[in-house]
Amino acid sequence: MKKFLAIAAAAAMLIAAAGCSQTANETEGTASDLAYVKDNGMLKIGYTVINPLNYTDDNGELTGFETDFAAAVCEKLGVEPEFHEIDWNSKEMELEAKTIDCIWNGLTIDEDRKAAMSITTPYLENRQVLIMRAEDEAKYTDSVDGANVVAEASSAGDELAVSDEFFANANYTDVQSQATALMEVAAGTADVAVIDYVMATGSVGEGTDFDKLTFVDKDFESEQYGIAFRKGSDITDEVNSIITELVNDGTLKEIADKYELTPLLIAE
Amino acid sequence: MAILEVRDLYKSFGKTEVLKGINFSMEKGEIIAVLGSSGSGKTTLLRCINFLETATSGKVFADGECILDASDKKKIPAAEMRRRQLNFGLVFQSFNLFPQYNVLENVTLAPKLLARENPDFKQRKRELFAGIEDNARELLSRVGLSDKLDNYPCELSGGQQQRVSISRALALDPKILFFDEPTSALDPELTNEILKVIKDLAQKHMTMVIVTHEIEFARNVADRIIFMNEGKVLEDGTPEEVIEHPKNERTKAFLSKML
Amino acid sequence: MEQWLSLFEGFKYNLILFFVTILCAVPLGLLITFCSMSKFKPLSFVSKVFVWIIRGTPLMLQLFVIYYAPGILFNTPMRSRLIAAIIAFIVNYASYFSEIYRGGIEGIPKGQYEAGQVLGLTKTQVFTKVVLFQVIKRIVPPMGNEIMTLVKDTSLARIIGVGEIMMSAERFSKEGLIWPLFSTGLFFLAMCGILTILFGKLEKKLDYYKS
Repeated sequence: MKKFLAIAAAAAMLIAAAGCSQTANETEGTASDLAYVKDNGMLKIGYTVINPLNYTDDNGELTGFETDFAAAVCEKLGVEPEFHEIDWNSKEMELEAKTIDCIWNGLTIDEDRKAAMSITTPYLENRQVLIMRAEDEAKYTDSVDGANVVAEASSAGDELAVSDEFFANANYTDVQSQATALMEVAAGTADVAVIDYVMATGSVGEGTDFDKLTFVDKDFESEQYGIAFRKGSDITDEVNSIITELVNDGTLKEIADKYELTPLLIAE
Repeated sequence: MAILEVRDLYKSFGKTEVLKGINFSMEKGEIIAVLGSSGSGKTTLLRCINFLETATSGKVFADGECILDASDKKKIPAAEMRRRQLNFGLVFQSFNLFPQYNVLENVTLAPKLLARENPDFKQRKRELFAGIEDNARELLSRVGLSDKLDNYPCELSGGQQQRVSISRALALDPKILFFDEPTSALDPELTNEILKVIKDLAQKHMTMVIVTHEIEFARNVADRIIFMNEGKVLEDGTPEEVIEHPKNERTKAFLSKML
Repeated sequence: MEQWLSLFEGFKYNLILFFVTILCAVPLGLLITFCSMSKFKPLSFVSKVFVWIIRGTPLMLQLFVIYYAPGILFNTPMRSRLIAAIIAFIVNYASYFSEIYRGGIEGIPKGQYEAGQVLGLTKTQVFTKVVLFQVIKRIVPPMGNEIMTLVKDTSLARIIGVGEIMMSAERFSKEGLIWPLFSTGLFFLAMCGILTILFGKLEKKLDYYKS
């Protein structure tokens, strides 16, 4: 009996803790996130390494389209950017726990994310492409029926593979990261990987370990990248107007030119 | 004056009463053998006297001093407990040597730790330790283990281990040495070497209480035999009285089974 | 070369995690053991429940809780990823160590304590002079196992963004370079190899007697 009580008490504590977290979320939106960030004097930016969005250059400096873009926005905001390399699967938790203030890393805008976070106006276009071994190109370009398909868990590729007709008869598995998805195809444990166009340009083809792989652009419905802040955050509006400024004064195009992403730029 | 006196000693484990009022006393230099079938309470008696079990009621006197009064619930300070403990030495059935120490260290460990309580320990450390080691060597040579000083218990036979454990108890110079079935864990051919050691001690007039199954040995070496049955002392007399002319039916039955 | 440097840079975090965890979890584990073996019932109950929770939940979850819970529940985000990871590892491993210690202590025959007592040793002396050494001999093999697991577990810290070796390696695989990811194995193998040799030596050293 005593033991049972103890277990019940422990369970109650866990539930109480879970309850607390919810009430904390609700009250959080009322305080000004912008004031919080300005008080800190820095914007903590969550990213993962993706060439050409965020990556380390030959001098060991963090660079890339998103990196430069974020730095330009922070300058206008009057805060220092602080870059945190995170695990992509934990990004929502990072945001919630305030260990980062935004996710700025080619985040695809979708309905679920819009419901969970506050996302800026889109600034870059992207679509999912198919990665396969070069010799399979003829086989899987028109149909992936019966093929083993992989994509990063909870990514836009994951979303597409689960919902699009094209993948209806494929054996789909979600994996740890886009890099894992590529490796699966290279290793032959999967036939097709669904990944970002942006990532595909940076990691497949000659001069990489994935030079036996090729990518096929099926012109799937395109996605748009946005920057995610905490739900209810007042920074989003501020950043939206800064983006407009950066578009108007040509800064954003300049950055996009530097990383050869200008054709994908959609910010207005 | 009696060197040991046990008065109305009771011990229960939960609802089971194991000792039901034990009374006896012994004189200095006397040797008592305690006989009885297993479950008669003889080992529990030894353990109560040696503070390994807490008696339910009763008293124990050593050299006239009350060292155990079960009715007194006051907590006795640890140092005082140890002083009382050291009246006695106990040799276990399963030797309980310290496996990580060699033979000499097993015998000297306790005396060396005790020597630290000397007020002038720091100045006399070397001298004290030398004395302790000489004494240990002497004790070990008496039991024929002079050539085993550096060996570890795991390298010795059961009989040799038990001889070390006897030396270890003697090194603290106890007033009474208790043996809890010292030969029960040994092969029959090793039993004799232990019995010989105990006989030697008897010749030196060591006061001893020996719980044993060896009736022949008890008859040869003991001055007195106590026969226990179901937590009571049924017989208490010379070997002749108890073994040759037992008064009690139970004693007769036990002896006829054992002899 | 650049990749190797980056892997070494990452492995530095694994090493920091490893050594700090060992340094703190070994004594903390003993403290937990004493608490859970305490005759004071509430203390032993609380520490047993604590050990149950820690051993009964995945280390990954504990990393999440320690790093994210302060921000989510109390609005005071953790400053350092590394420190959060270190705390999680210390708490987790101390709990496992405490159970190993407890097993070691409880495995010592009662006769050893009794022999110490009848020879007039104090309780402390019985523990330090008689029992402790035997406990150490008993726990060395299971501790060796656990410590070997720790070496590899340090790579879990990546999930809260500690830039350890696996995370460093994945940066390259995203850019189309696979070999660094597989090369991380060499680092763990080397570390475990050294530990195997050290523990082997220690066991041999303690092997001069059998209990």
